[in-house]
Amino acid sequence: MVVKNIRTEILAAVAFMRANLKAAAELRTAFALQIIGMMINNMSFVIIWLFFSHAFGAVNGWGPAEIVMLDGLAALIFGIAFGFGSGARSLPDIIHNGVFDNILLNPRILYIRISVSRLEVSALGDMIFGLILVVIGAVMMEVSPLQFLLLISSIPPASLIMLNMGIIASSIAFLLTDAMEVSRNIFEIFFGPSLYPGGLFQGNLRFFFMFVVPSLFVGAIPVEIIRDSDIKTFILTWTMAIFWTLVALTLLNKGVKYYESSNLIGARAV
Amino acid sequence: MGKYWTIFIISLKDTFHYRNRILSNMVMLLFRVGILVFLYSYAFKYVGGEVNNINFQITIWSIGFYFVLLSLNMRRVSQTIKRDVQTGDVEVLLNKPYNYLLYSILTQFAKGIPNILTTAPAMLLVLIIFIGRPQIAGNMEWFLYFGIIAVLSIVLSFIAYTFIGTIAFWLQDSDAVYWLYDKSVMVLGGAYIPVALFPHSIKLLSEYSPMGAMMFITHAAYPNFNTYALRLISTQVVWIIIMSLALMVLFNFARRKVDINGG
Repeated sequence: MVVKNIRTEILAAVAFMRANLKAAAELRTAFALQIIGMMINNMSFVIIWLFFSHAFGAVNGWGPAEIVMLDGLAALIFGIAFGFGSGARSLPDIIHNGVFDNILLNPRILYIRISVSRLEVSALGDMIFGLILVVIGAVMMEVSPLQFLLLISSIPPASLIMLNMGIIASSIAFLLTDAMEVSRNIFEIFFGPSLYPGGLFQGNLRFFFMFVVPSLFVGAIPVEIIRDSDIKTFILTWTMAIFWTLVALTLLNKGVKYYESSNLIGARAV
Repeated sequence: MGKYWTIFIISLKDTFHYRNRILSNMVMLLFRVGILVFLYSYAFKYVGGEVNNINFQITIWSIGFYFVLLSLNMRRVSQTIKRDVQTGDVEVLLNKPYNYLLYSILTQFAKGIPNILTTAPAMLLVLIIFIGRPQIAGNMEWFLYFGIIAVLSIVLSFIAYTFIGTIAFWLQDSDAVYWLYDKSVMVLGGAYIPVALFPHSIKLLSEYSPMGAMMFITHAAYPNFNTYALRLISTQVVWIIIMSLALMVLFNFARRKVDINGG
């Protein structure tokens, strides 16, 4: 029964994602421009940190290869999480536009239904860019088969952490009426440090950005797992993914209890 | 002029109502700079204190100046114009008895004032307490150059982003162009790494391009700023003239190309 329910949820989520993708791809020029534009946009972070590496040299084992892999992984993880799960970050907008009532009445699991309610075309550009950069980074780091396996296996938990952070940041919308910008800034507090070279995070700062705000788990930690073939940290990443999923689910369920419909009727594509 | 002043005041009063946004923007910018303080503190200790005659203090003050200017949110004028085009509101706004571009710029400028009024003092205080005073000349000449470059940076930023936004009249969705330009400003303006630490060719590009010119304020943190401030000012003036002319020509073409989206 549980397996059948999970299967139904997954099939429903996939159906929503496909519908969103078809709707977005209707405007082909805009679709392509967004993807290509985001890929070019992402190069800027690679350039910045390569300049840093040029000026300071390798810091705690973080040189150009690690920086390329970091930016690639961060973009890929962001793209996977929000390419198809953009609704997680759009919750304030969904509530503001009166679409949340429809989602609330849907018989699907709320966490999944909110996440797949929107598709962000530019995040697909992040995904493609990330994939290209990860391949280049893997070549530069000369990854072994074990490291490659760790690389592939680190992406799902990191993507889940990223998605959960989107939900947690967006849940502020249940408490504030004008939450869009606040939610975006809260997410930025999480996401911003994930783009910085991990070698610069030491001591208490590292602890903070691993266990209080898990930024390092969506960028630097996967790179270090691959570089050092660190199985312990790999297991820790999966543990943190489960932990933050439970936190996101709890916050979402508690937040919904605060929700009051404003009876505003909004249109939704799916 | 009275109508533009009224537009500005109404927009300013409206923005002050959204205290949560103002507070969260300030906290987020302080957080960004705070992280960079920790990271660069470690990085400079790691390399022994200086890189290319640039030390930790100069780096952080340079980045601090960048983020204070960023808090004005001048780049959002581009998104505002894009949204007006996509929703069809632009047709109504073009028919009003004021210049649409000036209206967009003044509205956005007013929206940015509360942010900079809260962020600038907070940033100054935090940096002085945790980093110490900047290593600047600190004389009347420095303050004069600083003021002029700040004003010219704001003018050039608004013109440049308005230019980018006007492209939406053709592309409808000008996000790709906006991202490209905005990230060039981030790189060449010295957002996360000071211009002085760039490779030589990129440093030249930063000092002579409009993207770098928009953020010349970051140079005010360097001890020798007074010696080349006039060169920076003249570069900004040249780009303001070029971009203004380009914007006027582009907007004239755009007015003829308005597509009605039924907004």
